[in-house]
Amino acid sequence: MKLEKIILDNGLKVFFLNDNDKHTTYINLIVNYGGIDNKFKVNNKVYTMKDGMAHFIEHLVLESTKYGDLMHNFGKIGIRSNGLTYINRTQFYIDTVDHIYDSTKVLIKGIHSPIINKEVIDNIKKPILEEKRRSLDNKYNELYTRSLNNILDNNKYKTILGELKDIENIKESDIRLCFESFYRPSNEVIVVAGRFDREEMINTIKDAYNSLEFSNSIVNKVIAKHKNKVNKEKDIIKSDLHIDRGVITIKLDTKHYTPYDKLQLDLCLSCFLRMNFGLVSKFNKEMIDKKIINNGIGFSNYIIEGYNYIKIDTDSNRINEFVNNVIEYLDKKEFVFDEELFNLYKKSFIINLILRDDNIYNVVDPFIENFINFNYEDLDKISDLENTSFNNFKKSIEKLDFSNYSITILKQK
Amino acid sequence: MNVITKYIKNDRFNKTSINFMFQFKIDKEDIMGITILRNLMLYTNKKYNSEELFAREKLNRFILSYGVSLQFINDIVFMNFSIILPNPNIIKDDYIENAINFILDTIYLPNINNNLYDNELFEREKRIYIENLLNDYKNAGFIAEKNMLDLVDEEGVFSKLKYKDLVNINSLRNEDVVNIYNKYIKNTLPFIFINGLIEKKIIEDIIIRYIDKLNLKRNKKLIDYTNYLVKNNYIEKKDNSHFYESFLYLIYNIKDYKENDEYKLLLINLLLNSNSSDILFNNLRKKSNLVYTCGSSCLLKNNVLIVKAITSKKNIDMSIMVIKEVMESLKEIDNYKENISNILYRMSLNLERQKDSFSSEIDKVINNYFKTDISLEEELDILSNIDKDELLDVINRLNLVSMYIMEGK
Repeated sequence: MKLEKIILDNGLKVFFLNDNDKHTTYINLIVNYGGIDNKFKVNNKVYTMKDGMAHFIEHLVLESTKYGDLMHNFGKIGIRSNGLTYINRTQFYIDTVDHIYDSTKVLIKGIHSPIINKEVIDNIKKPILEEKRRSLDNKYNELYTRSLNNILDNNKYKTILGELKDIENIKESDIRLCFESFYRPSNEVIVVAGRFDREEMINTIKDAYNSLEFSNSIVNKVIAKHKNKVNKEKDIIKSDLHIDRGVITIKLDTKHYTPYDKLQLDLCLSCFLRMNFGLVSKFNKEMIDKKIINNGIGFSNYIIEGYNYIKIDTDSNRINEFVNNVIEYLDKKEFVFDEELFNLYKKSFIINLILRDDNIYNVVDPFIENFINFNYEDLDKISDLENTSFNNFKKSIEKLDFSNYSITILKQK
Repeated sequence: MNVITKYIKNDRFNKTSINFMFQFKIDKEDIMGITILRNLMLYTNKKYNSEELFAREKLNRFILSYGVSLQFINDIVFMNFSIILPNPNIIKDDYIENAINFILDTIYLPNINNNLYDNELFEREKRIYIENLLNDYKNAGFIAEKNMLDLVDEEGVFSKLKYKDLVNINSLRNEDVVNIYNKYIKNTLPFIFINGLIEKKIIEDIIIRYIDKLNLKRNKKLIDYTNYLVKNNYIEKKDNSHFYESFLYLIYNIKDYKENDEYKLLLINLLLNSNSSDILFNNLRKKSNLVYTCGSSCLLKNNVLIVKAITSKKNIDMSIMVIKEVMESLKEIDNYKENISNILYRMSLNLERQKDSFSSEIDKVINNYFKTDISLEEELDILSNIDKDELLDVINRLNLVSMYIMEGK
């Protein structure tokens, strides 16, 4: 699939991944406004919101619009749709085989035309409160939310859903302010993939936005200056679960990396984590042989506000020993760099890249992640993988500082 | 020798899947052991007898994915070993035989020595199983679902297959798992289904070369899935819990169950639950704001319809009332004409959508072969032809057999 980028006069970025051999069309509208964006300036005046605002607005603009309940209406005509609030964005999608242009128009016009009044807010609040209560029953939610709080400097942020009292006390004027500040074309991106007519789609998007009015205020997010150290080095949460779980989150100072550097680093970290903590790793085997863990080790890397974070976690009732071993391993920096394994990973990544086009979601979803997280406006290519040598891989890992970490443990009472 | 059960030549994707499926009627005492066996066969074989070696070898042999799944339909089990390989136009290396031999080794050369699995691995799998199970018992959703199933499932069929049993797992020995392997897998030729571009002849020759030295027999295909029905006498149960949320289940069956009632039950479930209709969602969430999550599901082969809502303690009574009203409202079936037509339209769109799915064609073939499910085309055809009076007849025979409430704080 070939990527095409178009910037409309209103500042909206549109990306097309056209493949008319497919039978479905997958349209994503992304608003650059997520759970963490509680502090922002409008015409130089600073506003601070409570947690949960972005998530509340996501519900509102889907469920209460001039065009009715969008998800319900889409569902009736066989269109799959949903909204998702992430830490750094709100994303709406429709996935359809019919009514492609009409539904794109309704999606754009609908989410920009919410009906906001006391009655609507009170109605939307109730299921969100239920959603929050459900999340309180899940201790793992608390673990990952706290582990994120422990590494982020912006300690105003606690949770995407907000606390029960934040949801209860949400104000109409704040909703309006946040909606008008962030739901505007210059702060949005549309990605269309699969089967569609390019010209008709571009005209549909233009027409939909031209029929809407947006505020002219100047809006900027206020991002807290990142400190070098993580917020909290160790945090223990008491739980009644049968198995303890520990998360080690390492903050890497990669703020100065270019988007392409970050793409390369993503590949290197994937190889590094598999090689050192995955099923093939000596470390994993040692932990299992010593019966410190039973199951394998989980790991991932992600980016928030320009910084890379590595997360390593496992379930074990000897969690302190596991955590100490990981920390010792990271401190020693005697990492495994296995050239043969590196080349096997590279080959498998290349094959997966070729196979990616079989499924439009496999193309679109990582593209959105890369674009939103580190502003990389392209698809990753085979040449990017081929150009990464073993020596470059080794060097890129060796120069990272793994000493800035936070440990969060879910421990039995 | 005809070893391939069904082959679909599929050039629309860059990969080929091969499924080696074992189907057998399981003895109740083997249910725990088969799950442990599945896990043991997922990570090692005799040649690559540690997870580390096994994982590395999968990469070496260009196996994009390898999995072993277990599906239970009452007491009939499907154990499916599947691999996905890239098509030959993607890579130059001669990988097909290596990859297929790897999975055949995993099936026929398991990590068994002196009639025992590697004991470290066996004990570890048991520990993981027990720990996960004990952890599941701390999870609100799991506890509620298990309690609900225990309440309605007189035969213990759903519960015993779906939920694990600590007593059985503790007494499970290494040799029991080996016996289970010997009983169901060892000398059996699986049903083999292929979907992709790798030539049938190439795959067939590799498999024949491999199994030539083994004395394998294929089991007779089973297509008779016993219908276990839930009891008819009404039972209501309420438990208290320390969780924030309350779980509410209303369980219905069809009185005087007749052949073909199951498709009407399916349509009722879609009416209640599907996105194109979602009567439950509209009434419980949109109109009444009582829940964040609600839905229905049906066990077609068991004549069971389960309506579920997750809500707060204060909303339980109101939610029950709304669900009962919704069920009663189905009797005015003319009011739901548009919903039914939306469901059928949505199904026709899903037929189109399926064309983008790599596995949909082969899944259809497998389901049809074992008569486990009908295709979407057949389903659409059957549901489109359900007569209003026939549907109403089933709605009138819907019977609330149980209600389970797990009340939160």
